[in-house]
Amino acid sequence: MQKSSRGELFSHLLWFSRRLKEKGLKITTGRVIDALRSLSFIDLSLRPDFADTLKANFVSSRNDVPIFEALFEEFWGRLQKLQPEQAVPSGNEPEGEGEGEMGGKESDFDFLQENSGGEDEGEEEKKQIWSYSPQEKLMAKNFREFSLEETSTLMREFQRLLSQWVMRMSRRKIPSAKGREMDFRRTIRRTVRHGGEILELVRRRPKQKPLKIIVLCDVSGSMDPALTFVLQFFFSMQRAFRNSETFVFSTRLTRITDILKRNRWPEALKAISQRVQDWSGGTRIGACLDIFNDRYMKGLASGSAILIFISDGWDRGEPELLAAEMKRLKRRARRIIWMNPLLSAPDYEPICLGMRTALPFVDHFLPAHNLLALKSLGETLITIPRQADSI
Amino acid sequence: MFATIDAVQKAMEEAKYITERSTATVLYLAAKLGKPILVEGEAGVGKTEIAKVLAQILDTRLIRLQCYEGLDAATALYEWNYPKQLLWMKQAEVCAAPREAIGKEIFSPEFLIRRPLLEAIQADSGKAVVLLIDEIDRADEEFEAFLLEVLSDFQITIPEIGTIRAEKRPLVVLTSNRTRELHDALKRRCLYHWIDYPSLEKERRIVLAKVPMAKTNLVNQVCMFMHRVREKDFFKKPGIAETLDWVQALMVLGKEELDSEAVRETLGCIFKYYEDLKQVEELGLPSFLGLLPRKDDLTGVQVPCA
Repeated sequence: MQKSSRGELFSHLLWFSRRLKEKGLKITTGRVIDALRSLSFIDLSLRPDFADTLKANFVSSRNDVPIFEALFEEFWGRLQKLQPEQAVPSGNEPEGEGEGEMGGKESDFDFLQENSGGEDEGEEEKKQIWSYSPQEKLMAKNFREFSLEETSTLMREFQRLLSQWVMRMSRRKIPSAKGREMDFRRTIRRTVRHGGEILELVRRRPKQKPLKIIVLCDVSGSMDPALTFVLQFFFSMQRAFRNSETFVFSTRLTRITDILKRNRWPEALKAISQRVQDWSGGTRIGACLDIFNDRYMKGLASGSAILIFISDGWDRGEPELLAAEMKRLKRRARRIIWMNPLLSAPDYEPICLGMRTALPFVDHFLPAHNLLALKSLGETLITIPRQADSI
Repeated sequence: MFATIDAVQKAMEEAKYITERSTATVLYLAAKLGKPILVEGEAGVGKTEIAKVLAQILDTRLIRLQCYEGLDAATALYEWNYPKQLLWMKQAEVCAAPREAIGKEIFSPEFLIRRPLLEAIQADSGKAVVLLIDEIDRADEEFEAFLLEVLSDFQITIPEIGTIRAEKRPLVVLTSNRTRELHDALKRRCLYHWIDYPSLEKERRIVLAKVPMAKTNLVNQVCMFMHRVREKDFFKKPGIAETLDWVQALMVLGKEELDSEAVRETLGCIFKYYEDLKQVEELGLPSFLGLLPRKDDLTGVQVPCA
């Protein structure tokens, strides 16, 4: 009896872990085995301990916790209603009682039936998950469709994206003749070859230079109302990449780096709208770039910065000026990325004069309307080879 | 090591770590399975403390590795003692020792500086040590991958010496503040535990255990205040560490009860960001003190603004 209920527990556990996996938890065979091992150390009749044990084994992030708890209630709760002493088998079960055993078997059957129903349900759910994952949907949702209440959801998503990018930025060091730090280990290693005489000093330097990003965001009237969300993203980015810079422009150029750095998002937004005089005005990209080139580009970029434009390219200024300034910019910037919110429309063509003028100078032309677009920005950023830090 | 979950919880309470049973369960399982624990939670809820208490109740050494951006193997694992190697070589030169011999000698364990991970694996006390890997989310991904290797076999290979295996597997506690998601592979190898802010009652017990001199009334008021603060949306919510600091600060100032004046004087113990201080002002202190028992002293009673 004892043995059979153990076996049963195992099969229930397998079912349970399968359901968890369907719900998106990261379940591996190793984890199931460890969960089963864990159960042999605890008193199974104590339900909270049982729950905690499975939770510790199956959950791998805070977001998993509510999913786990709901499914635990649903799964083991239902089992318990059917047959409490078998759902959570305890050692002190009456042994070899004919009637009890019979009852047990019948209930087993019930359980299987119940569960086969559950299986169908599970399959359906699974299908649904495959074709319709909330995560995917969120990623593809146009910023225009987000409401202000979803600001915090977006903020979380932004931070998740950014954390992935930051993680891929390496801080490792490699040997280099002009490196700033001494590589003692290699130095000593090489002395051996000369009988302990230090003949060469090996230096090292970081493998890659930290990413420097300059964002220029169009806040003129023609821009999408969803712009707030894009700005919010760059707010998060400012925090993730310490030495990035953010500007907004319409008829005039305004630096907002300090605002983004110092405030929380709601306050930052307020401060930006106060500082930016010409929010939703016309656009003179060329003139703004002129100012940017003169005043900031030398100090900020110096050949290593990646410039990100967010603009629909509607420009009321002279195209000659824009072309000239883009050319100047191109010489100094490492890469120029242009994110256009209109690019998401399937039939979009860069026909407006401003966009047509700027496009030849742009290295990457990307959409900017949803999380997926921002994700593709991240992928682009990562693939840009960064210069090794020279001296 | 531990007999039952109850035993763990009891030992922890004796070490003045008041905890939920679920925390004790995870520690118990970690010890039984020999699996690392990944502890996540807001700042100041006592993540690091878990490892310290664990070492205390097991009466063993706590080895701590504080993670930071750019942490590499040389600081986490081992490094050669370069000055010593140089001196040795110079000395050997005088004695005209054969070259190969020098090479062998200066890369022997004698010239090795053990960093936390190697220390934990090579600990020779005969007892499993507690290894705390604090704020793993601060280290970069490559370090995580490296850690994965160490945590899966508890062995370290030093090219010049060979492979060093842990005789007693250390009990590993990893903490993370969730500034970034950790790699799945690392998570899979760990038991997961999320620590929430404590309930009102639990926080009261924690404060009374940690600051036994505090007056019950003051502690009640402080915990109630903290509870209400955490319900609001602050940039940085205060943790238990802040509660303890605050109670101690209030005691130093000789306050026996919480009133607006006392709170205003000591606000810096609770809020560490200018924006949060500003927000408290906007919301008004009475909204946090509102439900506190009235006191006879009228200065403490504020008329809430409509």
